[in-house]
Amino acid sequence: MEYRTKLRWKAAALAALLLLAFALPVAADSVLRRGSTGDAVVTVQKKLKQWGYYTGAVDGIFGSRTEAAVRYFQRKNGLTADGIVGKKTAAALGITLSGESKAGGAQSGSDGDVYLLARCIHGEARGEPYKGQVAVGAVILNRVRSSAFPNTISGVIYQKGAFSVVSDGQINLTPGDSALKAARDALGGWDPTGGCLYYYNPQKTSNAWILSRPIMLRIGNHVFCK
Amino acid sequence: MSSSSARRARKRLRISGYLLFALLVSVTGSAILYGEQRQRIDALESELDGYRLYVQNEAESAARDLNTSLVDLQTNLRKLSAAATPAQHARLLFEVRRLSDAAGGALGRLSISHADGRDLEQFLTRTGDYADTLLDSVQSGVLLSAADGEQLTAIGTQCEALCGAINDRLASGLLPMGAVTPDDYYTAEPNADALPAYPSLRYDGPFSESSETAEPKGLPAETVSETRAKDIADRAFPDVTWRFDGRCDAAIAAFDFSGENGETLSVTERGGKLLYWMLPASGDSDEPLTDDALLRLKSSAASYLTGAGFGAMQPTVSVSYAGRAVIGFAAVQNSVVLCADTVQVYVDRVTERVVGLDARGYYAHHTVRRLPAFTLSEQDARDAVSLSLQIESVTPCLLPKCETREVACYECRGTLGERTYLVYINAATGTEESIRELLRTDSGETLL
Repeated sequence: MEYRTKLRWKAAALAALLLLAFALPVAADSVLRRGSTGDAVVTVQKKLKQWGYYTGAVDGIFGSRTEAAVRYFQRKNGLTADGIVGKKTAAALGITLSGESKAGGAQSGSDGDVYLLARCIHGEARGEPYKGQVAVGAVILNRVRSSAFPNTISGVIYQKGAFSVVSDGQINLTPGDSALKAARDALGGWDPTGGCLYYYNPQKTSNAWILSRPIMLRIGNHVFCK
Repeated sequence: MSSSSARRARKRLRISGYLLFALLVSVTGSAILYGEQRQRIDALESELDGYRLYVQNEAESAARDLNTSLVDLQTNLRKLSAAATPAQHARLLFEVRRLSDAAGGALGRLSISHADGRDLEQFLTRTGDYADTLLDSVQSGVLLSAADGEQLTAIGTQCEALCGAINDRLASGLLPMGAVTPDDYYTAEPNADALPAYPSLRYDGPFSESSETAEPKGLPAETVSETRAKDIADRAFPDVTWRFDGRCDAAIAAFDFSGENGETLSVTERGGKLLYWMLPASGDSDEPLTDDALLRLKSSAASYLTGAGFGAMQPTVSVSYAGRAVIGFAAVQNSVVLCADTVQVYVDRVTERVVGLDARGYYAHHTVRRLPAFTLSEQDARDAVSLSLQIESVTPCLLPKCETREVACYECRGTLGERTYLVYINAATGTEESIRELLRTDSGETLL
């Protein structure tokens, strides 16, 4: 009798494990966190600013300053100070999260360009020297200006096959502060490449066409060429 | 049966039970797993088929759009040779520009290799740019020249060949496809099925050959060595230990150096000038600048430029981010602003000290100009601006129209409601050469 009971328990445990392995759904609430962008972030920033928790720019980008302000607000209001605007924090702020904002989401106007450029820089050049990150941004902008490439930042970045981070989805990673700053520096006019249109990592490239391009300079692991 | 035999039998039964249970679980698990996997594979295959069809349809749609735009482009180019008035030329040239853009957009949707498509993309962009350049002159009443007519005919002939090639592809189903991954982006060998080659255009616009081969006007011919460049870097910033990073053989050739704390600097090969340098800022504030703070930072930047020997400069637009204000300046000659000769000065918001400079625009263009006559008066320029604009200031300037041509203008800054515009009035003819909107945001100003 005892062994039958054990057997039943074992069977039940196994079945539970099987169930867990095959069928456990993962639920996720819509939240705003560092890297989120969009109108909902603007609303949060406005609220925080209005109540004196936030002194940064209301730009719709959930950066380190917004995160710090959210933590400050949460500490002062008896919430878990995790810097994430979930349901409770949103309710305390008097706003409703509609789920329209997402990390890496599109924005309008020049802020959207900054963010898209930063996402591409982050995917292509994180771990490279800062100057190399700006250089990747500058290459993208040089292509926008060139007659041989599409005329917009999104056109250049999403040109078929042009950037491996688009092909493998890394473009959707949340950019770090360094990539965001590099994007702004590149948009501000800093071009460490002096007008280059291509770059590649010589360790990872064997393509004859790109290797035949005249090399202008090297920064970190990347070679930049015309 | 003895009790030991009975125990052994029960043990065997128990083991058999365990084995049977394990087997049952394995078989059930495998069946579930296989079923799940099969369903997933079927779903993925179905999804893949859907995507494949979508890509094929997109490619065909793009090829047809490209063809339609090229046919219309060709028609408008033919009409140009039959037109006789500047007004009609202007209408047709506007269409040529629009259709070039449309064809470029359709080309961008084709999955062709970059190496195969870049010449056509360049041809289309330059055709649009060429039409824009001609539009500029016909709008001021000048008829197209015979040389322009010849070039337009050549473009039309090329369009005809392109349309033929694309029609053949559509008929045979051999649409150029392939560039979907980075490996396809650059082809090692030109594709045998690549679209035809195109003529280069002789004209003077933003994408003309002259703009790509321009020599820096603001630098002397004498060159400096790497060692001399390092001396220049050391003298400019003695506190930084500069390490040579390499040469940059761009339009303005330079020696690049970097410091241990993120400092970066470029010294031009011609003349040994500081082309670009940047030191880390002491803060990372993104807060909007107050007017007073901006004035102080502009003053600091202007003092630096004077001390560095840049001569007369006037502030243009400024932005602020990551603890720095970036303030643009343009050179001034006899009270005339030289719009192409620009520098950007980076000023630390905390210390209010200059922490960076980008002088590429200045060294690329700066030279003492023989200033053209400003035939019209400032009042004439004010009178030429839209009545709805409230003029705040009028400044004479040289506006670059292309690499080799500048136009004497009055820059009339005015407001319309809450928006600010810069209207450039030709100082000889009174026509509006350009209109820019000055957009003010929390980060600063941007010219659109």
